[in-house]
Amino acid sequence: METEKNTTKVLLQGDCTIYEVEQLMVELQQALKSSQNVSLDFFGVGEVDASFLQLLLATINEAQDLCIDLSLVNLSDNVKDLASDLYFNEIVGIEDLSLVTGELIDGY
Amino acid sequence: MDIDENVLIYIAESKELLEDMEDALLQLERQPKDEDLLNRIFRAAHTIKGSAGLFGFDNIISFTHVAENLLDDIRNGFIPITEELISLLMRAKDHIGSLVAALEDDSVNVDLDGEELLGLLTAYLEGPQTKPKSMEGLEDGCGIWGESNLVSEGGNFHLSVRFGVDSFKEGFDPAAVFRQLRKIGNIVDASLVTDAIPTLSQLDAESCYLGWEIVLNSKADKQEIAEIFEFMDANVHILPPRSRMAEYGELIKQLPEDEAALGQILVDVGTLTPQELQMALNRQKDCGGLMGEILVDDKSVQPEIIKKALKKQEETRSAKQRDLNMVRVDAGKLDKLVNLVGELVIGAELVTQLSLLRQDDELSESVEEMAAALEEMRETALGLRMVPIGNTFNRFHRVVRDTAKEIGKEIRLNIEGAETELDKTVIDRINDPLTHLIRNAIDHGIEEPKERLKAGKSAEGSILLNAYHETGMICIEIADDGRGLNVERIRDVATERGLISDSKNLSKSEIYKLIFEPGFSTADHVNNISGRGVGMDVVNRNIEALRGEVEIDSTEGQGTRVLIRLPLTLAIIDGFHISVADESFIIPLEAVVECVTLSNTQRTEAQHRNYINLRDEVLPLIRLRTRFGLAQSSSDDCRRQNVVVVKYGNKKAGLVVDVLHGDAQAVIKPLGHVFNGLSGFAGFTILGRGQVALIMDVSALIKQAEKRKCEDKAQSDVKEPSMDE
Repeated sequence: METEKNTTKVLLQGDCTIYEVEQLMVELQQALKSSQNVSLDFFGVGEVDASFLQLLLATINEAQDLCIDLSLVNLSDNVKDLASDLYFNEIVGIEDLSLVTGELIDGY
Repeated sequence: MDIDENVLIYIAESKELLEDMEDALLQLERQPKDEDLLNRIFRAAHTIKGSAGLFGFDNIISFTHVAENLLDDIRNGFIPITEELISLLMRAKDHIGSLVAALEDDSVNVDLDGEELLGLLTAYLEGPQTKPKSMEGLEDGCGIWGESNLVSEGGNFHLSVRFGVDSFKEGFDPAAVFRQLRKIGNIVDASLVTDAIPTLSQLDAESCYLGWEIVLNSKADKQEIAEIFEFMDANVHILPPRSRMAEYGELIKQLPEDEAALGQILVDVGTLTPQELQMALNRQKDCGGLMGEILVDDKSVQPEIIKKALKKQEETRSAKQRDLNMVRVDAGKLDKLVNLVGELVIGAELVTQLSLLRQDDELSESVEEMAAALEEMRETALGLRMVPIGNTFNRFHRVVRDTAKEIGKEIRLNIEGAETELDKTVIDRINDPLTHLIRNAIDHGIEEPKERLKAGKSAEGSILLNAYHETGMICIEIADDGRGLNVERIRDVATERGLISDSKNLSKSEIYKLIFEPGFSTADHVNNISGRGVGMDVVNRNIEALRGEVEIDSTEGQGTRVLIRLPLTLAIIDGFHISVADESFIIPLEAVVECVTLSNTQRTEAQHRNYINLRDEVLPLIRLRTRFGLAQSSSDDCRRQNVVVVKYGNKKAGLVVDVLHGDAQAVIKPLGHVFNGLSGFAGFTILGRGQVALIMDVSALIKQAEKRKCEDKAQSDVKEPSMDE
């Protein structure tokens, strides 16, 4: 996690599955507490599962509640595919570098 | 032909089922989306085939099996209901009827294999429209089950899945579930349910809070789908495809077990899995409540399915109750019972007379009680033979449909008063006259669609068949909204044929009655429906043989109404006992309006004319003494004279009699052949003291009096009052 120009960037790396979600959650909570602008970078993400998508959704919801601008960057195909397969429409609809805000989610 | 009693029962039941099938087919043609009608047809075919299996009637089984397959495809929406299809099913029904009829009658000419029909049925089954490819179904919208547009070969299951909180920890992966579901079908749509996901601060990331609502299109059965979740910590509800709810309902209906609990019924038809049932049973055990409510609360089953299952339970119970309460009895045995009751009535009348002579109070009281019980017994015995006319009426739907199609007309048959009851003997004998009248209405009454439109009418003509009770008679009305009778044409034809010499003096109703003359027809053409002039005279004869009467009323351009009046029963009547010159007579009570004693003035006045002033109304008189040629005794002059006012249809007359004895039940016995030429009597009965009393036929008496009046009028200028009201 690093902060640059008031934006906190979280670099997600390696597998993001049931075995990692506990640790990932802590990182995400910290990121949301640290800044009003948070960016999650999926560039280095390996295997993902439903527990990760659930965590991601909870994070998006939290950001929305706290009026934090949350962006998802470098969404990998495996994340998109799984989100699509499991009908995580909030995630499927997100474009790279787009800024996910409460308003946008509401309007989705 | 000696037939096993069980086979006779099978034949009788099959005939009833075939009648029901025909009725439902005719209705289905008008209401092709009514799944209950299709289910009725299917059930009838299924039962006939199933029962035929018990006796090894192979030709019925094999033919009905093919028909049943076709019906099944129709039920599944693979074959659209068309007029042509209904006609084919109607022919199939007729063929099954012939096969059944051949069981009891060797002379029935039937092609036992029904090859031609089988070919037509099979062609439908194998035809392009029956290939249930999903896209075909969607493209042509062939499904008649309105809800099934999204359904192809299988159906849309609705799955509600809520994973258990420990699912992730236990290694269950929702993605694997979706993969499995995709293997057995197509996920039409799904929606992630996220309501249970807590806020990030309260989230246990390793716990699962996810759920889905999934629409799965699959050919798999519910159990197969349920097996995907078998060892999973998940709350899963699988609702059967909406489009197949009707089938489930039908399956519920078809389950034979009356003791089957609601839950078990639903498992049996695949609506519930055994696991769901167990869960519901556990809930029922823990907190009580009705199984149906629990299942609906749990969203395991849609309320409609519960309703159908409950209906099935109720129907099974009632059907069993009904079966226990119903006995099929040979109509001949009922006739014998009615005859015996008749003899008993005569005997009781004699006992009553004797008890009056003895002047023994106790005896009189006992006799009165016996008479009251006997009266009830008589009504019950007669009631046993009373059947609603509706079944007879309903048969004409087919006659109207087929005959109208044959000659390119559009005709709707409306039925009213189907619940009206009359004696089975009468019902059996009015079928032919009604058929003649209806075929005449179709062929001559109702115009071609073009002609109707020109006349400002709807293209579709209508025929009304109506039945109702009126003054102890049953009235059957056949009315059409066609072109009506052409009085001039009837008069011309009647003159041409020498039926009338001078028609100028005939009233409209008299001219109408000419159509009942043998060989009379105004039709310009003869076809196989009517026009040969054979039929209407038969109608008249048949109705008269039943002590009935036919009346015709018509308005040119607007339609014709034929009214048949028939006695309710041919066995026992309530009568009014009178005497003329010491001879006893019975007047049917339903014809009696009132009794009047003539005052001296009226008596004097009436001696010189054949009518009296009854409360400012002219009442024509029929002097029975004169009419029957009875001798006048010296004491007769001193006797009071009474008038029994009788009514028949819209005609009224006063019968001049000597003594009024009062009500009496009369068992109608036919007059012997020796009395064949005697008119004015419907039969005879034996009174209490063993006296013979003739039963009057009021309609015949009035007609004779009218005829005589016409003859007299021709000879003198004296104006006599009409009997018309």
